[in-house]
Amino acid sequence: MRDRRAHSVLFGFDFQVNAAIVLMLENIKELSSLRLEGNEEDIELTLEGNRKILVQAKSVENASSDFSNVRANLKKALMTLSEGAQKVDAKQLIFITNSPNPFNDQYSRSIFWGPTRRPFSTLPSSAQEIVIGYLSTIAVPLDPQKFIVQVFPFETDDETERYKAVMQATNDFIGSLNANTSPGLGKKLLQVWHNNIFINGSKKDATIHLNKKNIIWPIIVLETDISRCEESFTEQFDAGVYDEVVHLYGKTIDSCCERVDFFARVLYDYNQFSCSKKPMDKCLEFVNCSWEDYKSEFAVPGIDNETLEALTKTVLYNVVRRRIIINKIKQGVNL
Amino acid sequence: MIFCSIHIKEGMAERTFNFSKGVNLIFSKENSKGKTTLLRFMLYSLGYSIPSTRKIKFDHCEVVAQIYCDGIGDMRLSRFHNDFIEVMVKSEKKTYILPDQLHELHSIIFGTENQNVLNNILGAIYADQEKGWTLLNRGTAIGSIRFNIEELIRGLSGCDCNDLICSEKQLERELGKYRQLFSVAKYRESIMAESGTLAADNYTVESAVAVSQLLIQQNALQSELKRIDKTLTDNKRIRHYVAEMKLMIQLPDGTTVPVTAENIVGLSDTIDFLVAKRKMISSDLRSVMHQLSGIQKEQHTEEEQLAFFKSESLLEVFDKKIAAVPIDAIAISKEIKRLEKTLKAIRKEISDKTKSDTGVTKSLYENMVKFATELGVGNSESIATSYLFTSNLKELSGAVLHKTVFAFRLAYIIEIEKHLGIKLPIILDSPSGKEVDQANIQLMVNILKRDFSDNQIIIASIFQYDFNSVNIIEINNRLIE
Repeated sequence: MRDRRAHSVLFGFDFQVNAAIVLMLENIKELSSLRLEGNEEDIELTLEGNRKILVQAKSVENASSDFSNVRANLKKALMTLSEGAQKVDAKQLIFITNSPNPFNDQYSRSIFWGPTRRPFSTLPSSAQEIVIGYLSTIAVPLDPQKFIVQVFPFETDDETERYKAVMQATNDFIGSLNANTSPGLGKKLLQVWHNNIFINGSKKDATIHLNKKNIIWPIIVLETDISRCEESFTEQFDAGVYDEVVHLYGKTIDSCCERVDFFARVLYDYNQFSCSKKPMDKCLEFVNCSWEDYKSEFAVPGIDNETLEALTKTVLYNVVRRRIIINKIKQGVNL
Repeated sequence: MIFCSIHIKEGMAERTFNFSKGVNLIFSKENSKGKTTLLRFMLYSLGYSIPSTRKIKFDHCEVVAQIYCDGIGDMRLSRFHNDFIEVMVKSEKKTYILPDQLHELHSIIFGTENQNVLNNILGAIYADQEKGWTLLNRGTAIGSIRFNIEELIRGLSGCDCNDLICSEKQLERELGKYRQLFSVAKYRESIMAESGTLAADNYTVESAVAVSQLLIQQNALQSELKRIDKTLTDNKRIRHYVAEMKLMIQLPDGTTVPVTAENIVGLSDTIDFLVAKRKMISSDLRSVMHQLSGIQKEQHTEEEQLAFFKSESLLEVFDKKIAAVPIDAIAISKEIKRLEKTLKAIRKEISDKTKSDTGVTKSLYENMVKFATELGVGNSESIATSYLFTSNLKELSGAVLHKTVFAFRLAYIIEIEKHLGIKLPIILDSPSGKEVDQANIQLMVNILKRDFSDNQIIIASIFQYDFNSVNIIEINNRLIE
C-alpha cells in the first residue's frame, strides 16, 4: 500500500518548488537569490538591495473539491508570516496556494479562478474580514498592506495538468526575453529546473538555496546547444549536412565555442568586421566572409571539402551566436 | 659468417668463450653441464627467440657476441633483454626491437632481405639435440622457429607466392572459425533436441538491453563531463594567467583600464556557462546511474528468486545463451566444404609454383643424393626428386633418419650459401645421439672435413671427433663458473 503521508509530503514539496518558480519568474529582473525551507513551507526571495519577499506555500491535494483545511492553512500562514515580518523588513508577504477557494468563502470564491494575485486591498470585504479576524489573534501581526494572496492551479498526478500554470509562466518568461528562442525550450527548461536545480543534494538539511546564476545559466546552456540552430544559417547547406557535422564533430564544435584561446580570436575578428546589419545577420555575413581564414584549423586528413566548409562555418557561427544569445538573455534577466 | 666469441654474464658470474674459424667442440665429460645452453645462448645472441634451459633464464643474463659477417665485417651484438638487441658495427650503434625488427637485423647479418630465406636459415644450420635430428624438410627448428622447404625454395629461386600465401592464411583462419562455429551449431542442435524450452526468456533479454543502453549513455555523459572539466581547467588557467600579467590598456579617450578576467569578452561568461553545463550533465549522469543501479538491483532480486526456486548452473546459463544464437549447421557445413575446396586449390597452386623452378630443386636434390649415397642411405635410383618434399617420415628411423636429416641439412646449407654468397656456421648439438655408431659418425665427419672445410663448425658433445684441428671448449661443472 502506498504511504499516504509520504505522498502528501512529496506533493507539498513539489508545490513549494513550483510556487518558487512562479514567484521567481515574476521577480526575475530584481531577483538576486532564492531560498526554500522545506520543513517550514517557507520561500524567501531576496531582491537587489537586500529587500525580501516572504512566502508561505500551502497546498491541498484535491484542491478543487476539498476546502476543509484551507482556513487552517491561511491562519497558519498568517502566523508564520507575521513572525517572519518581525525579523526582516519584507517588501511583500505572500500566501500562495493551489486552492481555488482559499478562504472557503462563497463571496470571494469566484475571483480565484486560474492564476490569481490579489493584494490585501483588492480582496473582497468578506475575505478581508477573515484575514483581519485571524490577525487579531496574533500578538504582533503583519502589516495587511504588504499581504498578498496568490493562487495558481496545481492538481492531479498527470504532469501536463499539474504543471500547466507553471509551464505557462515559464513560456511567458522565455517569450519576454525576446532572444529569438526556439520552440520547446520552456518545457526543457522546466524539466531542468525540476530535475537539476531545485533538488536538494543533502538529506539532513531540507533547505535549497539558489542564486540568480544557478537559475538562469541553464537557459543559456539549453538555448546555445549546437543542435538548435537557426534555419537562416543551415539552409545554405544540403539537407542533413548540418546535422551530420554536429553529430560527427559535436565535441570539436563545443570545445571551440568553450575554449577561450579559440573563441577570443573569433570574437576579435567579429568585432573588427564591419557590417551595419542586425547582430544575427552580421553573424551570418561574418561567417561567410571569414570562414576560409579558419579552415586550416579543421583540415584534418580525410575530411572532404564540403564537410570542412560546413564544420568551419558551424564553429564560427556558433561561437558568435552563443555570444549574442548570452548577451540577450543576461540583459533580459538583468544578470 | 662466424662466431668469434660470446660473453655471458649471469648476476655476478660471467665467462667468455672464444671460437676458432674452423672446428669447435663444446665438450663436457658428463651430461647436463651446459653445452646445449651455450649453443642456445649463441642463437639467442643473434636475436632469435630461443627458449631458456632449465638452469639459466636467458632474460636474466647479459649476452654479448662478437661475430664476423662476410658482408660488413666485425659486429658486436649485445642482448641484455628479451625485447631488444644492440648492434655495434664499425663504431655505429643501433638498437633493434625484437621480434618486430628481427628481419631487419638478420638482413644485415646474412646480407639478404629475402624473408623466405631468412626464415629458414636457422633450420638449415642448426640441429637441435631433440627435434633437430628428426627435422627433415618441414617442422620446428627450435622453440617457435620453423623450417619449411617450400618456403626456402621459393626464397632461393625468387619465386613470389606472397599473394597466394596471404589468401591461404586468410582461408585457414576463416576455416578455423567456421569449424568452431560448426561445433557450436552442433552443440546447439543437441541442446535444442534435449529440451525445447531453452530459449532465453524475454525479461532477461530486455533488461540486458536496457542495461547496455544505459551504459552507453553513461559512457557518453562521462566523457562529456571529462571534456568540460578539461576546458574549464584550461580556461581558469588562462584567467589566472591574465590576472598575473597585470596588463593595462589605454582607451581612445585617454583613460586606462586594467585587463582582468572580467573585461575579457566572453571569458567569465564561458566559465559560468561551463559550470552550469557541468551541473546539468552531472545530474543527468546521476539519474542514469540511478536507473542503472535500479535495474541491476532488480536483476539481482530476480536472480535470487530464481536461485531460490532453482539454481541455474553455469552450464544451463551457457546453454540458454547458445540457444539464443541463430546459427544454421547446414549452411555452415556447406561453407566449410567450399572453403576447403578453395584452400586445396590454392595450396596446389603454391606447391606447383614452388616446384616449377627446377634449378634450385635439382641442385638441392643432387647434393642431397650425393651425401645420402656417401652415408649409405640411398642413391639416385632409390631416391626420387619428389622425396625432397616427402611428408612420410615414418618409414625412416634410427640411424637412417639421422643420416638422412644430415644429408638434407648439408644440401640446404650449400644452396643457401650459393644464394647469399657467404659461408654459414654449422651448429650441431649431440650429433652422436640416437643409436649412431662410430662408423656412421666418421662418415659424417668425413663429409664435413672435405666439403665444409671453410665453414665454422660448432659441435656440442660428450664425445671427441676426428678433425685435424679442434678448438675444444670444455665445460666442467657449470656453464658459467
